[in-house]
Amino acid sequence: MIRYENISLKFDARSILRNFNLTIRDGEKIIIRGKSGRGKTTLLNLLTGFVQPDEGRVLLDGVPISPETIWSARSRLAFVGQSVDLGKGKVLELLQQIFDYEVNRPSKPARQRLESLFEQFDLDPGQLDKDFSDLSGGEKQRVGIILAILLERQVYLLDEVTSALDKTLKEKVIRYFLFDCSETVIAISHDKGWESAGGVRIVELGEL
Amino acid sequence: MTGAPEITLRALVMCFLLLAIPLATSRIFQLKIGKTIVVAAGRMTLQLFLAGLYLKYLFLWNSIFLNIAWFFVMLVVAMFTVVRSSELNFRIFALPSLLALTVSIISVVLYFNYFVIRIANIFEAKYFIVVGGMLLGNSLRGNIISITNFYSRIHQNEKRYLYRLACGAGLKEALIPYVIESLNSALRPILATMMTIGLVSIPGMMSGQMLGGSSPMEAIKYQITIMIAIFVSLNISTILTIFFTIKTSFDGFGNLKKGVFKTALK
Repeated sequence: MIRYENISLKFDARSILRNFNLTIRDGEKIIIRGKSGRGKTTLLNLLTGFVQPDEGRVLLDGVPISPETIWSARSRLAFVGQSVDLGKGKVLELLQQIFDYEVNRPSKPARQRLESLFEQFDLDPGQLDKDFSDLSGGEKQRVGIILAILLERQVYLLDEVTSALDKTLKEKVIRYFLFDCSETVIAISHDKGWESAGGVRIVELGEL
Repeated sequence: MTGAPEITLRALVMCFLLLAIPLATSRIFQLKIGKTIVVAAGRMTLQLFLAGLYLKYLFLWNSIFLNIAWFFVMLVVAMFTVVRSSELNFRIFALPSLLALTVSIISVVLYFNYFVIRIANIFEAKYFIVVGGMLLGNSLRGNIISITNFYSRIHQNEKRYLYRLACGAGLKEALIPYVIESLNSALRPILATMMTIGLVSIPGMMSGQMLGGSSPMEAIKYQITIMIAIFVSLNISTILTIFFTIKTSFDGFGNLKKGVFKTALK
């Protein structure tokens, strides 16, 4: 369970969130909406520890996010951003680097599993041996999605993950996260496809 | 072998006359560095005369306490040079950089004096100050390059760095690619120098020793040992500088602190 408790946050004296409260149950699918600058990405960054609130706290499974708990908290979260930057090198090597991290070693995938996920998201498995920098924006986004799935986390944090995908792929990704997986999903998207799928809770971030 | 002929005041003046060529070049090509040439040559002369003066008395008194105190002053000046020459915040980087330079240079110079030159008093001014100064001087540039490279690369690739943390990397795991890159940037130039030394250049120390009367074989042995000592001290000091500064530059969540740079970098 995730709880945002009385979160207030300012950037450069501008209030982004004020006394914000939200509870997300395990397995729930949340779509966060709101105009630019309303704090949508900040909500995800509060969970990953990249932003700290001025007031209030964020709890993951009842434990407040703090310098002491953030490292174990991150091992339960999978984040995919609008642009995925894995660095320089072959796709396979870069993915392997992620699975060399201590917390990820138990879920290190075999090449066969990687290839099958590549195929599931309409990527040629041959792309695994390509330079990551040679992939298109949409291909990088799908590699990020595949990586998040492979990490086998409890919570998916998705920030505009379908922005660079065509209609068919968008539907495929939305279907995967909203119907095929049982984990908690918090997705930021302006894409109507996420909202129109049933069983989702929409959180609207309004003007302060 | 006899020592080099004494350089008289007249000889010094004759040498300074050579500067007329770069001064003329600056004027003809409008390089606008004439004033800088004069100031640089003047400062160099004054600084070296002062160095000659203090070294004369340090050698004469040869007090362990004074030698250590003097070397610490050199380390503090070196730390100022490293941090001021980088884009980094003095308050965050001063102490860790000083600690890194002190540990690395002093450990290598003492090892060098005890095991390589094998002198009874490893704090003897002639070796402790001179060898230490050489190691310090040659480590500075590498330290400036590595520490600047390390923090600016993380800053420039912040999204990539944070993505790695989000994927479960521990702080050390997320920083390793940047450590490797910055160490490479600091160590490769000196490795390139080692590859060509003696082929395309006769190093200053070796030339000085031969001019001072040492045989070429004696001079090369000193040059080899000092090059290795420089390489090792640079290696240790860059690793330690990065290692010690990490503690003060990242918050408990692994984020690079906002005040790390003097001014906001683009």
